[in-house]
Amino acid sequence: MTDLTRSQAPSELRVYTVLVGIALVAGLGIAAVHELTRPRVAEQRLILLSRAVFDVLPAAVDYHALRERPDGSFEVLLESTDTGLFLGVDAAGDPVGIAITATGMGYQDRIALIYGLNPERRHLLGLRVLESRETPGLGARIVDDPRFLAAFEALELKFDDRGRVRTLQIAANARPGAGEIDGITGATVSVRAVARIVSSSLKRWLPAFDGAYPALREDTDG
Amino acid sequence: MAESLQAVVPATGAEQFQAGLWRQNPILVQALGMCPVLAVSNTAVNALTMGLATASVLLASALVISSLRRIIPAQVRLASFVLVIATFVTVTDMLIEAIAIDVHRALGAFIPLIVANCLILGRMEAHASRRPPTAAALDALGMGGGFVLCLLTLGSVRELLGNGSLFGIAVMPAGFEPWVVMLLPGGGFFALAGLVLAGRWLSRTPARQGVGP
Repeated sequence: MTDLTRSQAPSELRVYTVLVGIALVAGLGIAAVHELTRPRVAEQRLILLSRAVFDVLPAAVDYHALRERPDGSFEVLLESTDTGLFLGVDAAGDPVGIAITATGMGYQDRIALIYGLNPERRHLLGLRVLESRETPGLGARIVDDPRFLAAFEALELKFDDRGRVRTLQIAANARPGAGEIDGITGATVSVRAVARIVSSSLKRWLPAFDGAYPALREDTDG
Repeated sequence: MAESLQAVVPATGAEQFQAGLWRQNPILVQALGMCPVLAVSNTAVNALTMGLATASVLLASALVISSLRRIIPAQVRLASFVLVIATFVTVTDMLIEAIAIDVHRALGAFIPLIVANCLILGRMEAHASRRPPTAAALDALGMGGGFVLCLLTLGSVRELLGNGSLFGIAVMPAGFEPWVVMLLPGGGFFALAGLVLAGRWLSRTPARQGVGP
């Protein structure tokens, strides 16, 4: 009836050999396919990223990748690489904002997102989730809930009396003008995660760009 | 469950293939793997990709496990099945990301979750681990085909009613008001209920109708 060796207990060695053997072949196979698909996946991700940069910087017609130098100033790169920081420029070459990628823990895995910051660094211009594995139908709505994403399109940043940016607040009947985001029913954890990721990224980058912006303007002119 | 499925496994290759397509259809009759069926059948493209991904994992795993059936000790058979299935799911996931990254994003966590689809593990335990590769492949093709057909039907119906389009192309007349509920999880249950009802109605046999006092 059955072909599986059930008649007598096999030796422990055999059990382990078979399991380890299958695992080794499986691992090799996965590594091989990963290597084969990697260039194409990287290329596709770059296309998605560039689409997201234009989504979060609506006024941009082009963008340049930025790299932070060890002395805290920024370098405008000419080749298209993913440094996580992008300077959007309009047709005249003037900066229209900075797109910043940020990652952090969501409900069960990493969330990667990108948001746009206006040149005066007083409000956000948009947000897109690049990567997430939130619960389908619940937390995953942070990716495409139009009302949630629209809340970031003119979100005012609030600063404390020492000039540090305040953490974004989630509130019912939120007022974007007061730095508040409306939650999504059923996606509370994921929405909080997005607010936390954006807030901590802002705390990292806002001071860094404080003195750097005029220099960037000259860099793109030249 | 394994025994009851085993008892009705048909003999010839053609019957084996047809059983999965209709008489033992994984969705309509066995009701296996319902989570992705309800969750990603909101558009025809998502449903087709998900169905094909599941069917290819099913076919590849069935071939490998059937070939290894004399080598795998019974004590670790489930661990071995899960290893093989998880490998093919990971490979499929990477291939879909390389080919169609937009669909990959839309399906999100559901492709990795094929690992936990009880349709696949069920077929391995009940069939592939007990039959030669040809029979296992025919069974996997039938079951996979039945799964794809049902998923595609659900996806098409839901996209047609919920969005007025099919594979992203608008097909309904201009005055058509989309039933948004069909795209929401609730619509999945309605569409599935309709499909199961239609399946049962179509498979009524004259003999069964005649049963009575």
